[in-house]
Amino acid sequence: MRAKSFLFAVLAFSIASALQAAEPPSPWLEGAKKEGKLLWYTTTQPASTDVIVKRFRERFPFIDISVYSANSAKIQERFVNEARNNRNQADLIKTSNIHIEELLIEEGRLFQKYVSPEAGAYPPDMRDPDGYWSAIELGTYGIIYSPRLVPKDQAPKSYDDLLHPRWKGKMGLDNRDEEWFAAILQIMGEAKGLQFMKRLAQQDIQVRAGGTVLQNLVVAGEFPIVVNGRANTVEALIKKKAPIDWIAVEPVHTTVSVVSIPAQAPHPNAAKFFIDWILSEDGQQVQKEAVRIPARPGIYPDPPRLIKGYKLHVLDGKDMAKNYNRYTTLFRQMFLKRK
Amino acid sequence: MSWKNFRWDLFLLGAAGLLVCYLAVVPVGMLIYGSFRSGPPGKPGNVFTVNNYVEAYLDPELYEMLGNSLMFAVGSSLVALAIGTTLAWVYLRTNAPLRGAIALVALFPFFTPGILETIAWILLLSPKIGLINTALMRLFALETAPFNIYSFGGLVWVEGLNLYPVVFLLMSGALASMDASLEEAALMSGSSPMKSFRKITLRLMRPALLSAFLIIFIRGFEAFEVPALIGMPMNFEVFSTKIYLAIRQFPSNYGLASTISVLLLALSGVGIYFYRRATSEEGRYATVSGKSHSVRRIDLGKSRYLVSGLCALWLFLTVVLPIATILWSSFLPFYTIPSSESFAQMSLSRYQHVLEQPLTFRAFKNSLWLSSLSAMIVVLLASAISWVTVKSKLPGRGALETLCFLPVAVPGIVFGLSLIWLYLALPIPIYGTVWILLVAYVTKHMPHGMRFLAPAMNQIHKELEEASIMSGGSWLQTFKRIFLPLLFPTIVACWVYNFITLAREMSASILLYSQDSEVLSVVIFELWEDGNYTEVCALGILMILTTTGVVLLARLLGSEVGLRRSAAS
Repeated sequence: MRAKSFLFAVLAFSIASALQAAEPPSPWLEGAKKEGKLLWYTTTQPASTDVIVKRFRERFPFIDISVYSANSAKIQERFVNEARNNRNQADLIKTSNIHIEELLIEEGRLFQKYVSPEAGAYPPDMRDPDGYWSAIELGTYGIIYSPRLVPKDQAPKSYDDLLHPRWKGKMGLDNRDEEWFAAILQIMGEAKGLQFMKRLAQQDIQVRAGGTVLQNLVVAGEFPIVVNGRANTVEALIKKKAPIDWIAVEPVHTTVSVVSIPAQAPHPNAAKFFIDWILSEDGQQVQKEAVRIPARPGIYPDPPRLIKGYKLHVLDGKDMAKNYNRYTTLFRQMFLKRK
Repeated sequence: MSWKNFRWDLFLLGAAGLLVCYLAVVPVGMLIYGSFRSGPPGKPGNVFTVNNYVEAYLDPELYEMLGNSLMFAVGSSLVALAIGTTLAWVYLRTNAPLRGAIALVALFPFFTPGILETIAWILLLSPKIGLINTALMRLFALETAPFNIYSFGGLVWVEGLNLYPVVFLLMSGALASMDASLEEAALMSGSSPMKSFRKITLRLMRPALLSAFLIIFIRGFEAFEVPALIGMPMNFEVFSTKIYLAIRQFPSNYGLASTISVLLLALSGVGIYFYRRATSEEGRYATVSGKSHSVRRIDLGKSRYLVSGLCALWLFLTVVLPIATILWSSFLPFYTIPSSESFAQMSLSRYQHVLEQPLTFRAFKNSLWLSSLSAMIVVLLASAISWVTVKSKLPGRGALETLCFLPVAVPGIVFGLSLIWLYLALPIPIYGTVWILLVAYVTKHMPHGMRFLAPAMNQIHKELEEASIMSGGSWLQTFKRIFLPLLFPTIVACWVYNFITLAREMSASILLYSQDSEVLSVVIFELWEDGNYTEVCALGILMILTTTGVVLLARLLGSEVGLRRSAAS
């Protein structure tokens, strides 16, 4: 009898651990099933979001996930107004860490902490030390050039190369590139960074509204060089054989998109369940499938060269949030207020 | 009290007044209230302050931008007025051949998402890669590009072309219901068609022209895309940039944004005051009277072919070329100038990709029904309100017109935000549903509806109404039997105008739409932000095709009813 029950216990334990190895039961599973709903505010564009939502539904059909997608400023505005007036709807916010940091500075009470068991797999600059956000996606940036107008061996390899007289008047810059501006100041140090920017501004930089316009103008042949641009969209154009390429300047300017849970999230269990999944290897593979850059180390995007082999400089969101207006003013004074 | 004696006019004034107060005055009030607060509603530690005003109006940058905006708005309005009025006159008042086709093509820039139209002009007129420039340089062996899009002329040109369909529609409504006998009299007394156009038509059209100017001037004033894409390279910053920057800074300074918007409100108030003064003498512009309502056209003689030819050439240069650029791009994986290499790359895969996304269908469906329904409500409301403001002698009608006009002067994004504040606070459960979009659309476009219907109402002579009343017709019968049929061309033009502008509306929609109530402009914006230029082109072409279909349908319906009307008379 004793032996029998011992054997039974061993059997039960091994079955349990085998099951656990296959799929560790989530502590949020029961709660999430009961809630049955998840509303996700995201900055990811619809085509990618569709992939992520589809895969999530396939795996966890018991959670009815729906999405509101807009750019980060709009998401911030909508969320903050709902939350302040006690009408919060969102269960999960995905936006840039800067926006979350901004909101945390202004009104920390709007969010709740959650540290996922998966967070341990991520480097420290990709999760909030206080537990308010975890990175799920990266954005890498570099110098963009037109291989038709600039042979690869003559393309600038470093920021200093941009100061060469032969590029004078030929370089484009996105008017919303304050984040890049801040990143360079963070990388080079404030004094050196500002000096570089001053010299760059003397290169008669051509400012245009938005990265999409600039990249299309490189493809169309208007600009040989764009000072900074999103590598992911350049790679999408390269896949279509467009005459455009980018150069990573190390440490590569990198931004992170993060997920956070609002303090008044109506379905907090489902939100935590989703975060655990999107941070897991499986979730990050889906991010890759959705043509995003997974934040989890070891999972490379398509093509891998978007991050593989580079030293990354993850933009310090706290610094950016604190000094946003100062960076913006400096950036505008240098590049937009020329006469 | 029997129905016969029911004071419909009083009832209308009351009902319209309440509705306008609710739709327009409350959100605008919210905006003004917000401009005196230190932070947005719900934020702890909010106090009353005039700091927003001090900060905004002591900033010398504001005045520079204000000057730029004024120049830009006046310049592009003049371009739009000239083109729009001329085309509408050719379409409705002359016997130029193919005028129906001309009228349809003339509307195309209006169907096109603004961002695509602007990019198309950059691709045509950029000094470096512009197709028109490179073609002309090759053709005439020029050293430098003849045109530069990045100039004040370029700015005004592109915005003027964006705006002229508004003028075209406003003027066609008014021209269609205008009595031609005065023009005929001028022609009979030996003046040329051009002279009769200048001396008779233009003068009679003064209320409509002023109306059109008022609308497009404000649209030019709050325009964002063209100044951003074309003005930026030449450091031409406008008023709306200031609002944008106030919203973009952290924490977003909606107090400052509202403060700046209040200036736009004040400017529009002044505009409407002058409009009312200029058109106040009822009867001066009433050309639709009880006498024969002739719709005879001016015979241009042999020059009618020349007129059509010139219009066609003009439309080819200003409409067909940019749309061809968009169409061309929509078949390509990325934009390149036409060459044998790029021809080989042409495919329908952009369209396939766009149509594969379930979001596209949802957005088309939502945009179509929301815009049609809102446009219908706008037409109904605007007919009722403009009757009160133009035809009734009731006190308070001037205030009603001014109040009704207010929402047009609130920039879309600021308006969207004040609606969020309002419906988060009010116990009316439309926040987060599709109905908040409907409310936003109707409110923001009621003034546009008014600009169509008020001048048309002005043209109808009061003797018609008096005749009806004398013959024992009730007020309601008069409205139904006299006003509605006579206004029908205007009503159709008004519906079409509102339908198209609403299908394109973005700045308020993007804050107010919810999961599953996405609209087209939002999808376009998102695709654009992600760098999918040629896909946006494909979606843009699909949008142009759908809108054209709807407009043709509306025209068909309009002419049908028009025929029945003349058969009955």
